[in-house]
Amino acid sequence: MAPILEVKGLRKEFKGFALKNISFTLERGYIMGFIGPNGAGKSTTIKLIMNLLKRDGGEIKVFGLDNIKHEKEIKNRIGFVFDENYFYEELTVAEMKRVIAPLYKNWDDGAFNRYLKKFSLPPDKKIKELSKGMKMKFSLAVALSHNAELLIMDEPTSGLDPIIRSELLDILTSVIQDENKGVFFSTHITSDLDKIADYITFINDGRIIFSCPKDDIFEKYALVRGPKEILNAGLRQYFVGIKENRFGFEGLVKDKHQLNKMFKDGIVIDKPSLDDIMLYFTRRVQNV
Amino acid sequence: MFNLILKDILIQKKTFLFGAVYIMIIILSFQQIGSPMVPASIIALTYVMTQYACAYDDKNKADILLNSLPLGRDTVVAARYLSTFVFLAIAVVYYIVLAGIISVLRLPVRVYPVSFEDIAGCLFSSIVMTSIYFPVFFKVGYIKSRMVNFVLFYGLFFVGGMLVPELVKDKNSELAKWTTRLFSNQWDVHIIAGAFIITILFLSTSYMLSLKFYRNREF
Ligand SMILES: Nc1ncnc2c1ncn2[C@@H]1O[C@H](COP(=O)(O)OP(=O)(O)OP(=O)(O)O)[C@@H](O)[C@H]1O
Ligand SMILES: [Mg+2]
Repeated sequence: MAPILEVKGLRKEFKGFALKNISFTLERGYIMGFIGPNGAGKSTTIKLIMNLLKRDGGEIKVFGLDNIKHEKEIKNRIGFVFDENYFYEELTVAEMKRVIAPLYKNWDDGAFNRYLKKFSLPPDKKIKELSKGMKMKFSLAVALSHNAELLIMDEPTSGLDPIIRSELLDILTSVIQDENKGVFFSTHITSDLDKIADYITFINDGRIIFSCPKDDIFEKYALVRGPKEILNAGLRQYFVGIKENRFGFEGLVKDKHQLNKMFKDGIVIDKPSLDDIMLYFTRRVQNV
Repeated sequence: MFNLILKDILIQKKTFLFGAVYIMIIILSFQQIGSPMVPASIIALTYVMTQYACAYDDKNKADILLNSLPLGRDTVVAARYLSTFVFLAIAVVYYIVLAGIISVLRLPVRVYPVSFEDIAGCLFSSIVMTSIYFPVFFKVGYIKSRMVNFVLFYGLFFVGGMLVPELVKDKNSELAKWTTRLFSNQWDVHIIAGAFIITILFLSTSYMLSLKFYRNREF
């Protein structure tokens, strides 16, 4: 079966910023986290998938279908959540639902009402009267109530308190129990990804640094600490980035197995967090 | 499509309240002028509602929502045109109800009945107005389109303001004769058919342009 989401050689140019040859693939049954610093191009990529922006080159296939040629069908099967509220603020929750629901082929009113209850959303309140977290929850309720196969979310967890955030993560995990579905979401809260992501795609300055199973990342990358004396040019070349102070260094290496063979002594190898990885990659670019 | 029109209506419940006030103001200020109060009321309310619908869409960055839903851009554009007709119908009903209330209560205010010509005239001017405005709106968005919109609206009033007194002043001028012929009840079937076809052509050209522009927009 075709991957649920496939991006190949995607390009988009803005003045002062460009997405350069973005490629990644998400198979059905998995959750992919999309990370990168502010301005790296996450929202741009998501907007290109949703055909809100026009691509300059490359290919985007959702459910194996071209995202522009089969736009309407694809959108029927996608649940989306954006980082800002894009619903009509003047409408109530119930009115907004009334406008949106009939547009979806597979709208499930029962599911929607269950989510309203679960998220304690008052149907008669105007959307502008909802708190930021409640707006996000409304957005989620809509995204989850039409049997979407693919959920595309731009920072869905931002603005949510820890309790709701963990509830959301549970919901996403249960969505994925259906092996036909997939979730693609960007976030700055990497601990969310530690909990639920199967794949991580890391974008920096419009380029994909890596897109691979989460476990592979921790299998390969390592945080290395050691005394200053042993940090010579031979060792340096293995590092993505190094932080030095008077006493020693700490840095990120891409392949810890390579390193293990050569420099067993004097160094401490740790498991990096996703934040560490992002930090070192971003800093390297800044130093260049 | 119906949902988008419903949205345009739901979103401006307030305008519905003020609608009655707008029409009242026009009726009162047209006391000396007379029957043009009918098209003036209807066109003004249609115009205001159309503007509000566009403004609310802009304020809510609706393009992002609408284009993420399973909706073609052609539907979004077509709904915008169709809601104008719905607003026009609402405006006609509003005027009839208000004028009705005024006559029933025998208030010391003159009102005029809505004629078929009024409706045809309103339809024609609304189509002209929106056919010029919407392509600009879909090309550059609401904020930037306001300039055009300003020129259109005041242009209409300005031209109207120049022509009407001219017509009233000299009943034998060429313009007056031409207008009388145009608005006399003995409308030639050919003229009506011609006007109809021209209007439809105008409208569909405008729609095609709007769609072309909207398809190229990024959000
Ligand atoms: N419509 C646009 N026109 C011009 N430049 C744009 C446009 N949209 C985004 N950009 C630029 O593209 C770059 C990437 O922006 P994008 O919103 O994709 O970043 P992001 O990864 O989502 O960041 P954040 O984490 O802050 O949400 C930025 O430099 C931004 O200024
Ligand atoms: Mg973003």
